[in-house]
Amino acid sequence: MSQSETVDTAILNALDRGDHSEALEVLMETHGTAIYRFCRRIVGNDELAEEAHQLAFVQAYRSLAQFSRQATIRTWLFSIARHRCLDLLKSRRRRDRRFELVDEVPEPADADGHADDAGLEARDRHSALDRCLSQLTEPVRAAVLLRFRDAMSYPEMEGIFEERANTLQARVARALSSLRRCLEGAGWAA
Amino acid sequence: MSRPCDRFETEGLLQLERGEPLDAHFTTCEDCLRARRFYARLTAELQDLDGTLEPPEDWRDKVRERVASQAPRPGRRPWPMRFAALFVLALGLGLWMRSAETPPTGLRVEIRSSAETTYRGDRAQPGDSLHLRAPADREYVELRVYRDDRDLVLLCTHQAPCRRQTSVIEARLVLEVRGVYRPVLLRSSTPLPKPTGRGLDADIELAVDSGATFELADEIELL
Repeated sequence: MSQSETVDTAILNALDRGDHSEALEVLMETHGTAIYRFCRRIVGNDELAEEAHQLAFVQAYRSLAQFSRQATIRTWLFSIARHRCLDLLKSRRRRDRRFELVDEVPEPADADGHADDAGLEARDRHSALDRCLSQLTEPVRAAVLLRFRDAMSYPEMEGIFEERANTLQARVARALSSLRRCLEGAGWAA
Repeated sequence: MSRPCDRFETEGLLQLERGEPLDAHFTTCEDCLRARRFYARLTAELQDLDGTLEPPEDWRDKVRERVASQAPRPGRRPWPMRFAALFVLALGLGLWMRSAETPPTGLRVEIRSSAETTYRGDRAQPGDSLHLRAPADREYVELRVYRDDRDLVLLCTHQAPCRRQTSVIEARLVLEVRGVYRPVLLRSSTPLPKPTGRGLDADIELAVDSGATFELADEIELL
């Protein structure tokens, strides 16, 4: 039995005993960091990420009784987290429409506004990757992150995006191609 | 100078993502080999992304506090609480038997799939329908739905597609155009003003000025 299956079993056993508090503790211990990192990438700032992160676990706790057991716990939880992130982004957009905000100016790649060497330092490389990822639309960025950072399979991702695996595979392949163009423009060597 | 081969991007990446074996071309083509090295490096970087990013230390406590602030869940209550729950249940059953249709206490919104078997929470898909139900406890009651806070797409007083009984008003709206939908309930003892045509905020402001009360439901996004 894999570690993931062991964790799912522990949560399901807690649910069978009616011990939702214990199930929540296992959920937080096992998936807390991954969900936070995912939310941070989707919403783009610490404040919203912290709120979405907490809301995801609160909603998971509320919904434990309805967990259908057809998906894995991880897929179910990431799906909840993604929806909470999108809700918060939507609320933020509504607020921004009502109140005029000063646009945030993104930082340039370097002091000259470009990068041209093949040997970018690790920090610069990560910074370039951050910028290029942030240029992807939310569904594309989320798919790339779940696929590579969270090592999620396409069948698992189907449950989160409510889309077919083939569609997601094509989306990720196109996203990698976009990332390459963006990163090479930022100085990543081929 | 010939254009570099882009077959790895147009075919190879998808083959990899589908878990299919790569064509022989990709083991000999220099452009494709270079592209493949780049993507191997990129995916490795993505794996390590945010490796040091951690949630705030007290996040678990905050989740526990939020959970604790909600009503206790059934299943682990002490015996006195169980008796109390049974009493409330019996009382509720009695009240239900006295009244075949209990009016809702506020605006209730459900999203149903076209098969009417799925309840989708706050996100809908084309063809889903919104089912609205609210108490008709004033002389003048309206259910409205706005799209993107701007377009009034449903105005329900008593005519079709609405249904008003003595104590309940109901409406159904099939969602077909992408956008964010916001249901609103307006109640008043005097006639409600007509919509201004200037959107949700202006309409609510006018209604409130005329003495009406309003209730806004959560937004529903049609993807």
